[in-house]
Amino acid sequence: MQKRIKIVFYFFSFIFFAIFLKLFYWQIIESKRLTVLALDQYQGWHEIPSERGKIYTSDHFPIALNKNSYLLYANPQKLLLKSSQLEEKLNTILVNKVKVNEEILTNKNLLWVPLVKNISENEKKEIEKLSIEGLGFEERDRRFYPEASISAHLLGFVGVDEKGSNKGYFGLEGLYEDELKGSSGQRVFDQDAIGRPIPLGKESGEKSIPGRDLVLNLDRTLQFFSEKRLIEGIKKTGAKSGWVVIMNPKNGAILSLSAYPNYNPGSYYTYDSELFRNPVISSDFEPGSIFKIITMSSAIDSGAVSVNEKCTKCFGPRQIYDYSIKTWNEKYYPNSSMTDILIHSDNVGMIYVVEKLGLDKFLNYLKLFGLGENTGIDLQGEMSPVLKERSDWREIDMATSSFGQGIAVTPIQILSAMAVIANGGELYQPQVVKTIIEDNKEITIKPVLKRRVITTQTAKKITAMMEKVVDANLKRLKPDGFRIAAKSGTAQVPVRGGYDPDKTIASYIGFGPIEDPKFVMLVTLKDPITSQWSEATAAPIWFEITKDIIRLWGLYPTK
Amino acid sequence: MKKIILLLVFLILTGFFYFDRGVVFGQSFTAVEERVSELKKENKGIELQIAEYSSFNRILTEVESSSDFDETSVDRYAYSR
Repeated sequence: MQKRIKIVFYFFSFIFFAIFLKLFYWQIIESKRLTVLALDQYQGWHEIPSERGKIYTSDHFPIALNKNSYLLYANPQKLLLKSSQLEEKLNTILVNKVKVNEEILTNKNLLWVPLVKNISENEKKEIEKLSIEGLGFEERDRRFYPEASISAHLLGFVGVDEKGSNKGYFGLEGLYEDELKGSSGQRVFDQDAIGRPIPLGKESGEKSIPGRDLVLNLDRTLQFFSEKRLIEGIKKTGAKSGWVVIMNPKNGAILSLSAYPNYNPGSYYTYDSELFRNPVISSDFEPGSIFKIITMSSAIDSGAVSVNEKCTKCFGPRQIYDYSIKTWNEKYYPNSSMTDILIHSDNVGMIYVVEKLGLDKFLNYLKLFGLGENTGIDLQGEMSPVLKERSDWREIDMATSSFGQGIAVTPIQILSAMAVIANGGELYQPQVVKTIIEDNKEITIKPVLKRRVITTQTAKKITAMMEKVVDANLKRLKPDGFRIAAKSGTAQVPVRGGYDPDKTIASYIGFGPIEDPKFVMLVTLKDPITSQWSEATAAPIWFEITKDIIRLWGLYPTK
Repeated sequence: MKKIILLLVFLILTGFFYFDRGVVFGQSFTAVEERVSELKKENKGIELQIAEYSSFNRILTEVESSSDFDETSVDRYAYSR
């Protein structure tokens, strides 16, 4: 009897011990994994997408905002129509947008099958009128650009990432992705065995946080006009492409930025991806004679030459190694002053200037002007050509660089450098965004002063020289009563082993009004056909836009 | 019986006394939140309409498609702003 009791005791002890071990295994060792599995079974969650931040021009007009759109889905368990009937009915409203996969739609184990994306409010109402059992809508935001292609290169666009979530690419949408996207929230709820929410079950979650809004320095009306003038100019001159950039020289604020050909960011997927790159910040070009201003400023600032100094080597072509360097029209002006060299856009004169300056100082000034480094503009995709090492510079390189050949810059670099002359000698970082708005709090982005490049006196001297260049060559285009400082540049296009004899890049750069510069502007046309000279192609566009600025901003003549 | 009635009256009065006046006479926090969200949605719609109808892109398209197209009319619109 005693023995039997013992057997039963040991038997039950063993059973209890086994249960204890199993419970220990489940509740202690496997606790985390099983908790997750259980939660997964009785808790469902739903992502609440955040609203993407909007982008406004300086007059608080929205140029990138969100439009409601809908995703049409079907619930095969409730669907009574046949696939072909459904397709036919829906295509009466969404012409040829609906293509139904019959196999998926007849699978009664499924609850949610997406049919069509980006349905508008009106289309949704029309579909609802059809009263088709088993169809539903999910609200989603779609990026909307009311100005279409205007400012496309500045804005970038919103596409999708590898997970299918919205993501900004290029321009502001790309660079300010973290600020604009916000953070999505989630709703957690109790669900039944087949995933339906239990009406009286527990519900919790986090709210989504909308993205921050951006207010730009961009002048919307000026942007419209500059783009309009650029496109008209390109058509008139037969140029292949072009750009216009306008900046406030006193703080680096970008007032307008246009490049053509462009694209509509709202339907970016229908364009060639080559167009997405903003040429103003990511393409380099040989600037040609507009670069003479940089060389001359450096030489005058360093004291290597003075304004009234006479050029003693300007009587004919200059021979350097095997190269014979001539002036653009093969006219020579012996004993030219430094101002005359700029007025005649004299390449031989510029060699005289750079030789007096010397290579070391020349390179030092190029770096001070910000060449060879990114300007730091707040747009995605900026690239800068590299300045050659000191040891790689030959005499001929220094000579041609003095008049803007054999040296590459980006449009934004040369514009920032020109702003130095306009504002009295200081280099500012170009800035597109003025304010970031978050929950009614405004964070104003202060102008970034990088460094002083030249003295105020030098800037004034160069300004006076540039004014004489305009008055001597293009007085007919200048708005009456306004003092303008500017310089033209026609550069040859480098090809392997030399320069293309047929292609040119025509640029016009300058600022105004001289007494109190309000803008600095660069206009560039690539490969114009009607004339290869900048004064006949880029300059008229520059002055047209200047006249627009005068009217738009209500500037008064001073002369 | 009287005691029960008195107790009930006492309980009802206490209920009134402790009742949240904000809820009775004003709006609940949820209702205010919903109203704010409605207004935000309305505001979004208005902003969208303004942006759509007064964008240069739309004006240019309309002017170009009208039969008496005069290029300066777009300029005039912009300058009048």
